[in-house]
Amino acid sequence: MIKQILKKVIKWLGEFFVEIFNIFRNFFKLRTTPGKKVSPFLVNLIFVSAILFYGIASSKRHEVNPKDKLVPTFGMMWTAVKSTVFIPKIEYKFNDSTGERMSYIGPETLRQAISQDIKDYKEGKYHSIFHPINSAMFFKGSTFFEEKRSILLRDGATRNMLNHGESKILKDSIVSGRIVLKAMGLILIGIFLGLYMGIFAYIEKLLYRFVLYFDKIPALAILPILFVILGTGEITKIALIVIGVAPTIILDTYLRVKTVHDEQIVTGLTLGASTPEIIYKIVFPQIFPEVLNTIRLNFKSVILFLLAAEGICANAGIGYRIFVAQRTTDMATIIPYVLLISLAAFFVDWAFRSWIKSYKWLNK
Amino acid sequence: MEKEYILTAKDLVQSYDGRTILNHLNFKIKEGEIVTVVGPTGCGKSTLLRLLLGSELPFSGEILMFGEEFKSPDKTRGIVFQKYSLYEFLDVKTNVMFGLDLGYFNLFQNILVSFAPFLLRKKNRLKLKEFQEEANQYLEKVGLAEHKDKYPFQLSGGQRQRVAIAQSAIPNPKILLMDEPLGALDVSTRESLQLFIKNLWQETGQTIIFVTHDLEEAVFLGTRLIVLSQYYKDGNGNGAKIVKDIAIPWAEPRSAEIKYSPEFSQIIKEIKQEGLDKNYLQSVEEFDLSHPDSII
Repeated sequence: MIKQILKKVIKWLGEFFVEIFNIFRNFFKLRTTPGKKVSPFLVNLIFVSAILFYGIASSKRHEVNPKDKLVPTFGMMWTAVKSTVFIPKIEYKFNDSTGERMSYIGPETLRQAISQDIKDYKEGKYHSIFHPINSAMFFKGSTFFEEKRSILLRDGATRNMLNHGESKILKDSIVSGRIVLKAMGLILIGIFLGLYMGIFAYIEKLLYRFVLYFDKIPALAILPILFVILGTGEITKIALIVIGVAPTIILDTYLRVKTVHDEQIVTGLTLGASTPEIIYKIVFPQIFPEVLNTIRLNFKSVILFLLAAEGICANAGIGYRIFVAQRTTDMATIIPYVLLISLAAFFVDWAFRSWIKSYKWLNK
Repeated sequence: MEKEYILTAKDLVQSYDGRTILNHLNFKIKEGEIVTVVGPTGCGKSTLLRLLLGSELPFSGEILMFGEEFKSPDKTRGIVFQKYSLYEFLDVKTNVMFGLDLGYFNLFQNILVSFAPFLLRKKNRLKLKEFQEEANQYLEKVGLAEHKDKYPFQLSGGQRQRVAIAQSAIPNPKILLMDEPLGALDVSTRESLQLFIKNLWQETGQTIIFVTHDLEEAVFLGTRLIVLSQYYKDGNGNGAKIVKDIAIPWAEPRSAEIKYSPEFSQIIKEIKQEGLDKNYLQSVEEFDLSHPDSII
């Protein structure tokens, strides 16, 4: 038994070393594939070494100057992260007459609050957060579902805690995420504009030149105008993102529609398709994965415009926090925030890629 | 009188930028014929087919279907192209079913059909099932029943064309137009598909207009042969004319030597000898036009 296991281990190690040897032998070889055992190692090599290099560099700097803020150690970053994520501030109530702090009965930390919510939920006190009514939480202004929503969103211990105190990173993420979602929603309309431009010659004549010119306007250059016209609220940031990204999406969709072979449309007509059927059953499904890909690639610009607008004028948001931290050279906050936003972007990218991959007919 | 004929072309002329492609073509097509159109490369066979389809309008002259003009492709004329006839994003059975459910479901129902067919009303659900069964039956007839869940890119060239033919034939168009559907296939696949088309025609009596550049294929498949030729004189093209419009005698499938009457064999031999190249014809008038429906 042990002998067999040993044999397997030795065999595995042997293959592993051969693959490592192959890295050097085949590094510049054409038409080759790295071995399965070394692939994860190669994929993570630069990540790990960058983190290691950073750790060593920061500790070296801190040996010389323990108060160094430019290259914070991981410990400092952890403390900063905890102050933005795990320890929400709790507003204690004070007695008006005596000025004494009134005892706070609720949970002290976010973790405790969440566990209390879970406990209450199991007892049947609240709706689940995954309840369809609660998922409408982004439309906070509407009063339609207000009563049912409030059970969890307003009276839950977590929500209560977040409404007082605030977890900075959550608040920033919600503010920024809401802007991104609304902007993406508007950009989705652009897809249909591009679709109609590609299909109908008159709409093409009407819009193509205009969109082409609009695409060339650097969106950041009109940011001051937007601030003057639309104020400094959420809508300016949404407008900036839409103006910056939508023309690209429209033009790309338009070009994709133009690549659909005329034979496909003619065949559709001979099979009895009406105009809407030509658009939505023949043309749109063909170009949709490619349009998704365009949105995926343009997501970076979306974040870029978001940060630019938030950096200039905001009172919450990821970009705002980064730019505020910059004033106090608070690298311990900036670095986790940058990691957060890049991870979020990476996740969105991954989600879009898997969505595109799910179209079997594309995987030729 | 024209209503007897399924399709009538009168003085058909097509030209692009002053260059004449088709020069005064006249023919009438009866129901149940397989008309094969041959001609040298670039003589305007595909242009003729596009005109018959309605995806292009003639420069002058007219095409009548049961005595009526048409302006765009519609359900009465099916088409099989050499490429791009199939929808790559749909699997084989949906491709075949495409001609059936188009126009039946509205847009919202279409979304339901593709994502949640169980939410449809009972009547529509039954109809969908009916369509699916019809498509499956047709796929069995075509011999592709085991491939019905595959996507077109997973099929071979011959299988793709079978699916394309099934797709365009299933809504029962009055005429099935084929634009060199076997052009990109290898010889053996080609021969089996020729037999397939012939069998299809024997079973259904579908009127077919089949464009090809291969004379043997045209003679084997057709009941009637139209030969187009490009007439060049001092470098100025006058466009293609119909140089032969003849009935092809019935022939047994290719397995045995095809036996045609000596007169017909002579005509084919003539055409072969001259070759289907651009200078094939010096004078149109030399040829006799023996098909009863030919009018020049």
